[in-house]
Amino acid sequence: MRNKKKEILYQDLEIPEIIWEKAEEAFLQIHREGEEQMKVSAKTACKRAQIFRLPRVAAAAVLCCLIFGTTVAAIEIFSLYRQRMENMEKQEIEDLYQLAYAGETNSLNRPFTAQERERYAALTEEYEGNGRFPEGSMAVLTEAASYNGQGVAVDTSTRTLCLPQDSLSDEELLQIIDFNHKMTYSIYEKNQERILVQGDWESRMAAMTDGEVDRIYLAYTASNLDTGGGYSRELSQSERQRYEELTARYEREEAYGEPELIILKKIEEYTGSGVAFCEENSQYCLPGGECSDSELLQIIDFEHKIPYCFDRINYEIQMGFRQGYPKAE
Amino acid sequence: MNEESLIKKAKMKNPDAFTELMKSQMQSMYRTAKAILMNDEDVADAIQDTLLTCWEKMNQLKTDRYFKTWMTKILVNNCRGIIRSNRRIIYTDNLPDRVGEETVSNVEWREALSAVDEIYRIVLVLFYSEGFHTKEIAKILGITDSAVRTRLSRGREQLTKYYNSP
Repeated sequence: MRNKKKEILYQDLEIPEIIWEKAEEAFLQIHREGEEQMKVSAKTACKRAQIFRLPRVAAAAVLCCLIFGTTVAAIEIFSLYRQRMENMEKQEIEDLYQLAYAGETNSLNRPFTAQERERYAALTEEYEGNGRFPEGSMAVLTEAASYNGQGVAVDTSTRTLCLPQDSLSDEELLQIIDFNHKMTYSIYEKNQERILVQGDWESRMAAMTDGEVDRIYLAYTASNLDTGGGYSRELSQSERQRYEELTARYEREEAYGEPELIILKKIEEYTGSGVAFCEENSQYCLPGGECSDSELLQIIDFEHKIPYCFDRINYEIQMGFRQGYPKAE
Repeated sequence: MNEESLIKKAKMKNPDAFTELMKSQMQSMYRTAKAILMNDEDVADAIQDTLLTCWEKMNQLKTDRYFKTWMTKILVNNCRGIIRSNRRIIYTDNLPDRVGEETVSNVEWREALSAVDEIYRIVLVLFYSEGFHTKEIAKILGITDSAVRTRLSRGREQLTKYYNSP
């Protein structure tokens, strides 16, 4: 095609005002939702924390950093963050956990300003990435009347985050960030204690090693398709019915998939017997005949593990226990 | 912040990172949606819907390097939804009153693309303007790779005819 025609397709267009106006409306809505998430939200953090395993050994944490190729300085910051969380007193963990379970802290005595939101995001990066911690800590009040308008505080009687009328200082914002991280960590710690003795399917997930989690994550993300899953053939009516029944049994801890689902790199590797997950096309390979209950359970088990692995990796990155996403060798 | 970092932070529901990421894609979204809808009011709606859908589903993006493909697929589906809901589509012989408000280059672009059937127009824009490979375009539009190549070829023919016509 001659240059003139191609030129027209490469040129930048002037984006009209109406486009920006509608886009800004969407961004405003997104920021409002983002602000809701900035508030101390115990229920959400609790639900996400409850099936994650905390890697306890500092050496293992350092090894994680080395695997992801971080610098020595980054390893030191990583350790500082972990130390800060792990140095919390048992009573502080217990108090924060009880506060979380008393209910969601979901109101503010005034909204954050746009500048405070921006500064909050920047300071969170410094807190997590550069080990910048507050000098003091946020006050915890037991009655609303006792807030004197100075500094930041959480009122446990009304579950309100109390902010002064003046703009929040960096120290005050850091105290809020610190409080949020410590609360999330406390929920994580207490749930870890609970889950490891429970023996349900969630603790089965929590018992997965980092290597097992990474393997499943990498297998599921190996293909370049943005829609994953699907089966190599339609399930029969009998298989669909048994799939529903077996899922219910799986989640009630009566049945697990044994042995574990085989993961194949290429479609050609599938022999036609048993079931497998193929990395090349993110598809479950099914035999020609009906799948047995055991085979369906292998698929059900794998399908439960996929979202768990994604959530756990995202959560561990957010908490600073991982430096990044698993990478294929 | 580079795009890779923005995507990772946006997936963790950081609204500032998400906003910065999507603002960097506005030119691309506008060109793509305009190639399908040709009408700025509809394009504005399609982009707004796409921003909100991407925010909602950001954590479902499995492979970060395919972010643009994923976003464009959502945008194309939103554009098609608008067409299906019987909104007004601008035909080449029915230019909108706001032609006078457009820049010269926008007018040139619109007139050239109007000469190409919509089915070929979007493929031309995705291939030349947005730099997608034919396989990625096939994924975005839900058609085969060979269909993409055929439409590219026909789109080029129609554009050639437009430039050669008196």
